[in-house]
Amino acid sequence: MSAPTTKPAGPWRTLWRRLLHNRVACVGGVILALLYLSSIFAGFVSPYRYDTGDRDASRAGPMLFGGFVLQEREVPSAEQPGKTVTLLERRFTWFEGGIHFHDSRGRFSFRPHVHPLIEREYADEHGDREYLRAVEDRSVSLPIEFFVQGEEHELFSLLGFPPHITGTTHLFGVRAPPGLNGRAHVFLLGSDATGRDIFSRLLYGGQISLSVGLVGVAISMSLGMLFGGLSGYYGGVFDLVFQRVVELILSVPGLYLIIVVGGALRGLQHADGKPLDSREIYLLIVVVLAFVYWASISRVIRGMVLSIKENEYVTAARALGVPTVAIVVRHILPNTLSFAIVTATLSIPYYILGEVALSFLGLGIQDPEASWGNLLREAQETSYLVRQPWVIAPGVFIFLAVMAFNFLGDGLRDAADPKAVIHRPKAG
Amino acid sequence: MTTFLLRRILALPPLLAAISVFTYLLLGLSGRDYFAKLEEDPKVTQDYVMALRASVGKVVAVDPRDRAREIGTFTGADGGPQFSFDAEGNLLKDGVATDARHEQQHVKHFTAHGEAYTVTQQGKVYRWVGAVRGYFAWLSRAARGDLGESYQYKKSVGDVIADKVWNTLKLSLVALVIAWGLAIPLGVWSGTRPNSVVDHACGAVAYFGLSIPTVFLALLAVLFAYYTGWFPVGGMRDLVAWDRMTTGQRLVDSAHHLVLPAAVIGFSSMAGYMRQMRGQMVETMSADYVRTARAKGVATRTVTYRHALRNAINPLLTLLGFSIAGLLSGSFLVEVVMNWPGLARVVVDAVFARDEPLVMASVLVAALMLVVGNFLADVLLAIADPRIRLE
Repeated sequence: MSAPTTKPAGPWRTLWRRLLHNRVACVGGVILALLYLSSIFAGFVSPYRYDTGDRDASRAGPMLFGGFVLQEREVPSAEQPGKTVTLLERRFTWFEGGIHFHDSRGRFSFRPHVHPLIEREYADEHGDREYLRAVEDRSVSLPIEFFVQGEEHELFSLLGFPPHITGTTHLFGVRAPPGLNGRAHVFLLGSDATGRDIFSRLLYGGQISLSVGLVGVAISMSLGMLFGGLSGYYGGVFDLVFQRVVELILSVPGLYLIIVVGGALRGLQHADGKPLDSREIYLLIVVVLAFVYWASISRVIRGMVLSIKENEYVTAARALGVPTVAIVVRHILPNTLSFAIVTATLSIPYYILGEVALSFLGLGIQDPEASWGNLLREAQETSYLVRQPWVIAPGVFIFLAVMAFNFLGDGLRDAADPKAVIHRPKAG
Repeated sequence: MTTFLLRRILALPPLLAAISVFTYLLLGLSGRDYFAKLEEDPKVTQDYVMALRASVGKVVAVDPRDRAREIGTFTGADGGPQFSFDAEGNLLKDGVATDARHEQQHVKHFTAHGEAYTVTQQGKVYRWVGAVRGYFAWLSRAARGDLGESYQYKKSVGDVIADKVWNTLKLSLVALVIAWGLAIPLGVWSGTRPNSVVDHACGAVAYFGLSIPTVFLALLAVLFAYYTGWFPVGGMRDLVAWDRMTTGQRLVDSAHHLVLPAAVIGFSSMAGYMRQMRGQMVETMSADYVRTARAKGVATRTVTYRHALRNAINPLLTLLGFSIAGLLSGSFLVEVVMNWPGLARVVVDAVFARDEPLVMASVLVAALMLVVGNFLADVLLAIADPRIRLE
């Protein structure tokens, strides 16, 4: 008769259980899951493709928050002194129009509706013809339909990397009934100058902005662990050279380095003079960011290895004749793993913000490809920003993603080692 | 202290040299230079562009009498006919005099004896200096304090960036003061009342500040300035009224323009220090010497500020070193968004235009600011904490 034995929970299980008890970390995890899922399935979730626009519906207002209506304004005529002419203007009405819950006859409906967007022509004070686009015809309501057929899109699309699975069903959209005067669109966050849906572009942009973090961290973590581990374990000349390289990278302020490296690589061409395509630019951005950020990671790993290698079990392994590589890989690096995971989570925002900075300044992802950074470029023009403040929507997404990674990273750190203090300067 | 100072100063030149090598190599990587854009312009002659390149030392003109000796016979770029030069430096094709204008496809870029050459349409011959010699030429001039002339602005790089560096420094310093001025009191406040409402509120603010991207915050600040009208929307001074202002008015105007961008950078970098300060404060408040002081009957106020705060603040000074890198990076996008005429705009424009001397100088200056900042933080720490000896 043996006493019933219960196997103690392993370290990963403990970590997971502690993490689930941390409410803030769970919130972070849920936000991230939503952001990643909606980006991965951007083709299905978004009503349009990132690169197709309707020029007749350019610069539409965000239907989540309202819409544009026509407004008349009297101005003195330039052609006939003493007389006035009536000008038409677009005026944005907050929380009026846009998505609403009644049909054309004003009857309440649970199904959300949108107004069609029309174009108006008028004569300005010189008598010249002018056009006002994407104002709402508030007398008509079109129902938003779910699981509608629309443009072909790719599930799991990432700049043309395989696999290619295509579909035509979209989560939601509007269909124009025959004989409709105007354009039937659902622009949750408005449309840009060429009439592309900003919401769709945001979701597609997430594919780039959110994956840059994961790929970049994977690269610089491996580099950091490899070089940090070796340099900490071996010391000597290798350590000396490696430390100087790290110091060199760390002594140029991060964004300055990113901009110069990004700018230098931007001019790269194929041998036949063709410019790089968007997939190659994406890879270059990841390489630039990983190159700039691996240094600080490897430095910390080196410090940890220096202290771990003094442990008795390392001496014991060495005395038993275990080969050096096996000691580093089997006994030393696993001890840095919890730190590595926490650091990885907490440093993903650096990559996201690095891509944002590069693309925001025009050195990264180029139009028509969308990323959160190059979508935010629209907001760079102050006069445009103050008239259409919703162009900062990409900023909200960036903020959410960064915050969620901070939530999750702090939760992981508390779960892995509540006493650890990981210094973390602001990501940018 | 002297040893420490000396060692730091001696480490500076190799570091700057390494950064400059690195930047120079990067700039040469794509093979396109500032003048390549001019070459594509049909109104600009090739001879003019090459003369410009010669004036900045990217190419060297080969004297007609040296051509035969230096280059001799060579094959054109596409492996076509054999070319050579006669004693007067005229171009010969298979031994017969020819016009360089008609042979451009062969002689525009060719190599002879491992050197790259160009024969222009008017028959001038230039030797390309190349990255290695170009770098050493730059270095020897830079060592004498001459950082060269900006291609875009046609004036000395020092003149271009001097006031921009000062602007960036001014912005960063004010932001630093704001960040620490907020972080220390708030950190102490919440650290002496752990798990109170105040503590949780400060924690939430810290999280917000840590997570909000500075670009986004700067854009929000622009909107805030526009809709309230309390602050100017961008820039460093009132461009219209500046000339008519008295010195006092100018000071007020400058400060008015400075507040918002500095507050953006300060707020977004404050969070980290505040969390650290709070943590340190919580720790020292439970230390033995604090308990002893309390038991002696020392007033709470004195215990907090005399005993606890003084010890809690030391680790923060180490963060000061980190914070300078963070500030320079953080201020980068704020400068761009809020139209602050600092180093960031210059770097971005120079990178786009491939204005090499300007990029080199800006990166070196930014690195120098960082290194000097870290150095000052180390010295400050040594002064504040007698246990630390700088050697």
